[in-house]
Amino acid sequence: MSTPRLPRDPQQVSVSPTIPAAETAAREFDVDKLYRGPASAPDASVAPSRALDEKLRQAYYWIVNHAVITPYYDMEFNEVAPATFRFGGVGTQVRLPTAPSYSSFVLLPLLTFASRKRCLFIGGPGRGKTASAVLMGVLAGYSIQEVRRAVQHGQPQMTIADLLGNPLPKDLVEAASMDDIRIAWRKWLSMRVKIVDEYNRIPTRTQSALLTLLADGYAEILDQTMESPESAWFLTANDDMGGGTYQVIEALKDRIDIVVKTLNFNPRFLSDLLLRVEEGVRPEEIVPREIVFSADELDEVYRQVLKVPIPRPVRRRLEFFASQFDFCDLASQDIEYKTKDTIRIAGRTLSSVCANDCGRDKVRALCSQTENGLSVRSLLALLGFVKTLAWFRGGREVTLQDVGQMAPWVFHEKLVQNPTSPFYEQSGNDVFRIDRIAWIRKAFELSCQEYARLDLDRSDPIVEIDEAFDRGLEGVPEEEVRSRMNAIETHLAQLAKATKLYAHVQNDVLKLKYYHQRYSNYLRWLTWCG
Amino acid sequence: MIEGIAAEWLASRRNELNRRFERTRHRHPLLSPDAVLAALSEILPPLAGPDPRCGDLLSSVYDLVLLHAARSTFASRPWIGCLLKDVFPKIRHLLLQKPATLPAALSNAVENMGTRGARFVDGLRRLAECVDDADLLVDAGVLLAWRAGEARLRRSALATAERLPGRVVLATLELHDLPPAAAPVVLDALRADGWHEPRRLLSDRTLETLQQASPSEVEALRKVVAQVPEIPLGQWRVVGRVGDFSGFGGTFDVPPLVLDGGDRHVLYTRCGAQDFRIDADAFGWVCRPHSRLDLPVRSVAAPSKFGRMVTRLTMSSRAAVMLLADGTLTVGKESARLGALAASSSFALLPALVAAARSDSHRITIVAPEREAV
Repeated sequence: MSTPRLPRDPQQVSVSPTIPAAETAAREFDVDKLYRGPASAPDASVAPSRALDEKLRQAYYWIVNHAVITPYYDMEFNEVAPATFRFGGVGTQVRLPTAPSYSSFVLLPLLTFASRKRCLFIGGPGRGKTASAVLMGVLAGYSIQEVRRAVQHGQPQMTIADLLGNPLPKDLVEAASMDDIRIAWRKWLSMRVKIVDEYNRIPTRTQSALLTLLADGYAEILDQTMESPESAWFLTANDDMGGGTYQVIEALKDRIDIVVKTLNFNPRFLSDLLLRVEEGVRPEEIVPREIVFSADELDEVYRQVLKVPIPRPVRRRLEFFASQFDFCDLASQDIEYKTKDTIRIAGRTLSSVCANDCGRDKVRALCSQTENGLSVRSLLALLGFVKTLAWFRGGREVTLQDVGQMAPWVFHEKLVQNPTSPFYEQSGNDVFRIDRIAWIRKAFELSCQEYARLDLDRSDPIVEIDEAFDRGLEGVPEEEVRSRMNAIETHLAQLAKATKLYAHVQNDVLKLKYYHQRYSNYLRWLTWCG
Repeated sequence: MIEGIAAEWLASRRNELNRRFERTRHRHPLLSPDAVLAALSEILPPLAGPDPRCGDLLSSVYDLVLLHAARSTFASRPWIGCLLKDVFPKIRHLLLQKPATLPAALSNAVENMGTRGARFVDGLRRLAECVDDADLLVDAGVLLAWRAGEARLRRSALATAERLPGRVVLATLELHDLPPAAAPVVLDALRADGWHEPRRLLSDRTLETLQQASPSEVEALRKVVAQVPEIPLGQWRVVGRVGDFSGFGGTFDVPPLVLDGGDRHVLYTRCGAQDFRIDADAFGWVCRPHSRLDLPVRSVAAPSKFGRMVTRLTMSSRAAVMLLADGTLTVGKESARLGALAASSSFALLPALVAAARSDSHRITIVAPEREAV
């Protein structure tokens, strides 16, 4: 049950269900709804056992309605084709999404919060980066005072002791060995939400200590270590170039899973700002308790997120997309080394190598667009985020739209553009040099089109070989092994005859080679056994 | 003009209350100060008193007045006004137990009941005399909502009713003239068969007996009413009609088909490409869209020109149940012609119940055994 609420009361939480369609399909009628409505906010005595995804959606809507004025729906989802409007100038197209769509500036930190990832806010001063991060801390159940005290403010004099803690002075004097020195660890290390403000102002040496904590989950001082719980990280920086007072070390940058850009303020919403001023409301101080997550709930959220399946058609498209970037036919004679890593290790750049002819259309081939490929870490981050996004949207499995909307945000700081790629010189493509989100969105779209053109959903011969191998080798007779090896060789011959070695073909060929080697080893063993 | 304790309370919190009004008007520029003042002058004085928690109660009711005045709910749902003006003073002792939450919860419940809200408000008025605990009122509210036609609450209401005193159960079911001992008997009867008005389940003689019945006699009676009697098909009667044309406030754009599934109080239907779930019993029905169901549609067979006997002989072994277009219902070896089922387009045979739809009607006819009073 509940206390009465005024319309647009800053503590008003959106009425559940926030996604009615998902509700009707997945959940039963709940008797507690009888006493819930416009005049209410839940009270522990009759609070219904809301689904956690619903709770996170309510948190999202509370933030966009009352905390962060971000009237943008840049993460668009559609159930049917959206109405579109083309404007003059450079031909901007405006779409009206037909399914609930979201503001990246609020949604991405929330997904980071739910999936325990690492998020970097970038943008000019006063855009709400720190405030959003603090909100995440409050959503995790900490008081506003605790969160404020736990925010690590980057500054040029920040030491490792400032960041992690201090050895007890008494122990320093009296200790006979390093093991006797006790450390007064900073409290923020044990929190589930960690906030580092202006991380690009932290001195390099202290950044290394931060890296250990962020990457490996422990802190170390004087041979003493402290394990930190799995947590969501929020870092802020005033620009996206890693500038600031100190250059951010590459390894630290690489550990960041997602980069969120602050959006500018739309003056049309000045009245909302005015109301904020008149009422003196500080959103982080009035977060409704019904959208605050307990530690157990956060664990359960994480468990549920991990369970969201990625169906094969979606996973295949993602594999197809990811395979495009690392491949370079000119990098090596051996198929295994035809990657951009080979070029980088040799001290060359893709642009210098790609200038030579490899027999491909470099406008269409995605491999020409980047200097590097996708790391395992960034793919892991994407898999985590798409599962979280699908779960947040009330889906039972990851959809292609989830991947299409999430990939740009995870990859836009990871993929380095090849400035000399002919792709960017095409009419209308120059903007992709500036807007990297749109660039990756476009690349994913082109990749999916190519996947559909090749009809790989229906004509993917690797599927049968995969399935046969997945059934295991135990008890497979020699004739069957030979037959499967023969099928692999036949397929390789067909591929070699029918197509150039495109990026996805290289992946297929490597997998076929892998299977062939596994089967041939097994065959050797069978022959030895007699 | 407000006087007395309510006036003192308003004066003592003048600035804060004015700010709350201004904040509401900021979002609802048409909010009329006069309308709010008029409502407050009617609603607050009867709720004011010397009780220590009276301030909290007045504060939450003040917010409710702002909320409903801003959204014009007083005009669009007049029973909200009845709740605040007539019922709240009667249940003031209960509101004072939970002043911050109970008024809002009841207001929400009345709103959620839609057009059935008026009946819910009447029920609350009845309960004022027999309930002395706020939590009990909340529990009884579930039963009230079910009685007012919110059929989805049937299961929860029956479970909740087990915990309520007999006189409260009977008051919510509009049976306050029955002896409290009748409450468990009525509940058992409703649990087994919700298609008969509870008042008609027990004969006057049984009611008289119940006044002085021993526990074992009550137990025996409960066993009797908890079973749906086996009554020949020929004595089945129309016990309800559910669903309606969307133009008349229902859900169906075109006449629906009944899907073969559900139970005595849950039906599934298909209208165009959309499936629906209907929760229904003698108190009312609620129809809601449902995700696509994999349930068959039992079509109605045309009678054979050679007569019913030939039709039965040509029935496939699967079709141990058949409904002919003339309303002849065959279930196993039993057969009877029920006029209400004539010209049906589809039907479902559920435990001791047949639901049938017609191609010229948006309503679904429910036929079940006609029960006699015990």
